[in-house]
This record gives sequence, C-alpha cells and structure tokens, in this order.
Amino acid sequence: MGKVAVVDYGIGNLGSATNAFRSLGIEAYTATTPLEIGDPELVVVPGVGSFGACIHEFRDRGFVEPVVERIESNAAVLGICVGMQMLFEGSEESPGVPGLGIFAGQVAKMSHQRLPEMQWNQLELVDHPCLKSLPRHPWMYFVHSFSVVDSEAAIAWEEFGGRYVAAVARGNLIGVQFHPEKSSHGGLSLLHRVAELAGAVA
Amino acid sequence: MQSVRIIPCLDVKDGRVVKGTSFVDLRDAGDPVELGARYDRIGADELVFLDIAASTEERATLVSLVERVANQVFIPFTVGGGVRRVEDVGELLHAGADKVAVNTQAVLRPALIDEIVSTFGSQCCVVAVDVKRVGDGFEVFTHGGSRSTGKGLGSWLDEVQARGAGEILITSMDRDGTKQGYDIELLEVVMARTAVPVVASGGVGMADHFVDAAATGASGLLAASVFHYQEVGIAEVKERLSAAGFLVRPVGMEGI
Repeated sequence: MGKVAVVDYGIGNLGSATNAFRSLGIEAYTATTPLEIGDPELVVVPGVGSFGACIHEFRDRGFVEPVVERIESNAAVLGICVGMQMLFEGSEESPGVPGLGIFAGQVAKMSHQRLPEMQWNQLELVDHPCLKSLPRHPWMYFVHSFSVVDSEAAIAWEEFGGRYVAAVARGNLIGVQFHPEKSSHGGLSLLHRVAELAGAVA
Repeated sequence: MQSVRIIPCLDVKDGRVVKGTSFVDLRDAGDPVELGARYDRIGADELVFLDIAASTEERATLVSLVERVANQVFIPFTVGGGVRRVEDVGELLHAGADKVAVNTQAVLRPALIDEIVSTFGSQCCVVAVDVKRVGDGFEVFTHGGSRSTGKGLGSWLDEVQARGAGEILITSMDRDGTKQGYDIELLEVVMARTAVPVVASGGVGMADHFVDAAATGASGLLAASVFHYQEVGIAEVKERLSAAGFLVRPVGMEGI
C-alpha cells in the first residue's frame, strides 16, 4: 500500500489535500517535521499566502534539504500553488527572497486589472503522462496574483489577462498553480493519476 | 478569461441551514453537510457557510460542523460568522475552510483584516459587507444586519482593500429574501470602487437575475433559498449565463 505525505510547514489549509487523497482511497498523512515525512511514494508541498512567508517557514522548519534531495533523486513530488512557485528562482512578490531554483525563472505579478484571480479556469494542456486522465481543456480552480510567465517545463497553460504557466513537470516532479484538491472531479482525477504514477495507488 | 462562479450559501443556525427574509423570520432549509455535498455534486463552483447567529449571540463558530461539511466538498469553501481573532481564522482553516469571511468584527476592529492577511494571505480573507440604502447612498450594517454603523459603503470598500482583503462579499439587505433580483445599482457602485473579486448576494428569485448581476462584472454570484428549495437549478443558471455570453464551468462530466 503506497502513501502520500503532505508537508505541513504551518501555512494554510492542509486538511483539503489529505482529505482529497483519502477520498480516493489513498493513504495520506501530514508531516510537520522532516522526520515525519518518512518514506512515502509521493510528497506533496502545498502553499498559500505570500511567497516569502512560505519559503521562510519551509526553510525554517528544515524541509528544504529533504525535499530537494527527493527531487534530485527523481522521487515523486507535487507542488501546489505557492508550493509550485517555490520551485522557481524567486518572485516579484518577495524581492530578494531566493526560491529553491529547481526550475529557471521568476514568478511575476499578473497583469489582470482585478486580482487575485479567484476562479475556475480552463487549461490548455501539453501532452504529459500525468494529464492523461483529463480532457483537452479541463477546468481547475485558481487563487493567485503572481504567476510564472514562461517555463521550458510547462505542461499546462491558462489565460487570465495574459498567458501563464498552469503546471510544470520534470521527471517525477510536478508543480501545479491551481488547486486540484479544490477542483472537484477533474482535480481529484489529476491527484489520483499523480499518485498512481508515483506508485501510491494500491 | 474571467469566468462566473455560482455560489450556494448555507446560512447556519443551531446546526441547521435556515433562510429568512431580510435577515429575520428564519425557516429550516436542511442539513448543512447533506446540502454541501449535494451542491458540490451538482456543479456549484464554491460553497459559503455563514454561522449567522455567531455575532449576535456572542459565540464561536461551529468548528466541528465546518469540518464535517469540509470533508464532503472538493470545491472552495468559505466560512464566516463570529470570527474575532486571527486564531479563529487558523482554527477554521484547520477545520477545512479555504477562505474566512469577516464582517461585524472587521467593522468594530478593522486591524483584524491586516492580521488575517499578514498571517494567512489576502487570498483567504473575504470581507463580507451588509448594505442598506439610506437616503441617497448605501450604508454598512453589522450584527447580521441589525445595527447601523453610520459608515458609508465607498469609504469602507476603500479601507478593506487597503488593508488587503482578497475578495468582497456584498449583500443587499434591502433585497435579501425578496426574490426581486440583485441590487444592480449597488453592484455597479461596488464594481467601480474595487480591484478585487466581488461576490454579489441578496435577492435572487429566478435564473435571469444571475445574468443581470454577471453583467455588472461581479464574478461570484451567491444565492441561498432558491437553491435550497430547488426553485432554480445550478445547471439552469449556468445554461442561462452561457447563452448570455458569460463563461461558466459546465456542470457534470463536461465541467472536468
């Protein structure tokens, strides 16, 4: 039986992510310390609020090293929202605060006149194994004011006053700007697929 | 593209969903856990849960009930009522809320908004504003609509945005429960004065009312009794909006 560890570094609603996996019959638990991560098939890094606050807490609680190690050994990791943004080099939201730098590029303020984008939006997908269970233009729920403008690792895009990266992937590392745990059937389908590819589905 | 969100609202008192006219004369409308799960299933885009007795009866929000509802819904979930301190927000987020709405307590102590925003971020801070027409203008009311504040709507909208509110939920108390439609003039005033997403509330009686409100640019359209008593269906509302040229997430498997 595979497992999913959701990293809890003290910011936001983590119940949603664990609840979503459990509703799919997948064992999920929260890890409040690096030790508690254990040896799961998939590690989920959520994140809401500001880039700087997330990076600060994530670093402070000792999660950078174990998560980056997992990524470097190509073990499965899923970053959600600011959890995806933290994989980049930095963000306009928190100038001077370095991100994890796994992906090249900066997170920038979106150009729409009404922010945050707080809505369902339709994705434009690039062919990728983790998106196999979804239709061509699936609907997902977004909440953000900052976004990645371009990335070589992009596997999904959204349009909101400009074209932005909605998901990135490299090997078994996946990052999504939207909230699959809050995107009803489509979101749950994506989480199931990601867990399945990681070997976390019995 | 901007899409329009259809948002059923659970007004909860003593563990039950209730609905009245202009905030009084409440009648039972069902179990919040069952209704929440049903709305997710039939294509609601978000769910709002308001503990309507919390402010007037001076008691904390029903955290365990929030948790039971949250376990059933996989769409964004906003909870409000009786939020006084930043710790209350933490408790609700922990119970499964994604956003927390503040109303009375934000008027009494506006720094509450700053505290929520600096701790949890703008995205989870909804400021709910209950409004009544007074003279030529709109005035802000608190305590479930029972107390006048003397505050004008415009300056309050400016202040809550300056303090970092991520969304504004605007309720017309004149229209609430009347089924005469949203107060379009009120929404136009709010849209002109804001740069954050706006959720319209109060007055829905039929599917066309959602179209009227969407035309103002409000991206969230909230309703309660018409959905609870199944007078209007979410699918019907979305079809109507779509036919009028607004982008909505379709219900059912097409909404994936």
